[in-house]
Amino acid sequence: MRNINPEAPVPLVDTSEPGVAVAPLAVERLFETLRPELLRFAWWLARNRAVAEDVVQEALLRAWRSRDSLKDPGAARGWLLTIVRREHARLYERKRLEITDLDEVIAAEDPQLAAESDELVGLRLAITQLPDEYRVPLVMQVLGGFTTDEIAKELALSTPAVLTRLFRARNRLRRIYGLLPAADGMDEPAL
Amino acid sequence: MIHDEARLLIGAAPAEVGPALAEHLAQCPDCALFRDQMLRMDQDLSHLFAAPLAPRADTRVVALPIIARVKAKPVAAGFPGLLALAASLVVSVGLGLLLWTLRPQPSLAAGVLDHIALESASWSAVTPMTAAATDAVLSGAGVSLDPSDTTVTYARSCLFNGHWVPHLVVRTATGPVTVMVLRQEHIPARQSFRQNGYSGILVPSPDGGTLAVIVQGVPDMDEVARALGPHLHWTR
Repeated sequence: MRNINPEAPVPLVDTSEPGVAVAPLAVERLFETLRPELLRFAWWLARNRAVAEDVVQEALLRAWRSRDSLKDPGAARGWLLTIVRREHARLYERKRLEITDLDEVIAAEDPQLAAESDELVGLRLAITQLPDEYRVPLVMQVLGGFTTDEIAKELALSTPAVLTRLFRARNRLRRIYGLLPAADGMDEPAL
Repeated sequence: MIHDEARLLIGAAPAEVGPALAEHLAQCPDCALFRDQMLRMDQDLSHLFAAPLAPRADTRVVALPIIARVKAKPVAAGFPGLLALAASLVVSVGLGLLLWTLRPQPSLAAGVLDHIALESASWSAVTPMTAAATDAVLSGAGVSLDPSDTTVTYARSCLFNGHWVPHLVVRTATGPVTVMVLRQEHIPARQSFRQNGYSGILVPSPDGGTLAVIVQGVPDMDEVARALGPHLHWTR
């Protein structure tokens, strides 16, 4: 995974017995350190604050229960993001979540919109309105730092399929910049 | 590399340029411009994705988990022979059950204090939580707070020994009081403790769980309990 950079890496391994014992307190602190990023990741997947909080809460509980499987602190970020992504997918499958008035939800939940340029506001709205099949890999790539191969494996897709979805996601967002989507047949690139 | 392949790779991952794509970019101004546009957009995407979410006072917040008490790994039996091993196991299990039943509770108090230490900022919260937010945290805990004359300044669902538990800070006449509802923890009788500048009591609840009440300093805990008691109700 690219960009693996936990903001404050905490050793998970008890240094008195290197590579053997996992220190629960270190896991707690790592969870807390990464929690804001997990919440942002979940928000961009779910586009709803309450749902994102539920997803992160369930994800952290799952992670806590299987914390012994985490041996490498450098892998914690990707591990937790993956759990959050799966928990979101699980919740979505269970409840068939629908957001009917996205603009209202976004405006109500994000007072920072007022401080952003029109271009960024437009980009934000455009991202949230992308279909899941395009938005999820884009968020995984840009926010999560997953490679296309990792996204493909996680989403059970081929790498070319992921490339196509990422291309289409960005191509749709080009309108925000006053750029026409690729008109040379690349909107549906042949693979 | 043909033009369409280059466009696909640029649009899918603008920051990744392999040798074949680099060669194409050097010869194709259109693709170079397209990549510049995609890189600029990715900068804005990163900026948006990195922006913190606005804090909210009316929703649940995920908080720190607390250390599950570490169980000692069993030591391999040293007795020779299957019968001796079985007898040893029976005795060990029986002794373990007995000790578990009679286990001292300071570990629970220590766990509560560990958790509170990790969320020390909770004491200084002053913004009142909404009744809805408090209710959401208490949901399912079997406890309700009288919303009319209590001020809750902190309400989080916290992972404690593998269970989500309500963690509140209530403003009272005697100062801030931390309340944790530990439905999964069972104690035979009320206990009090003092450690690291904190005083607390663990109270068994009617349904078998435990209520933890902690304050800073060394006040009269009975007075604290009396101040809090009328506002706290067991709902089952």
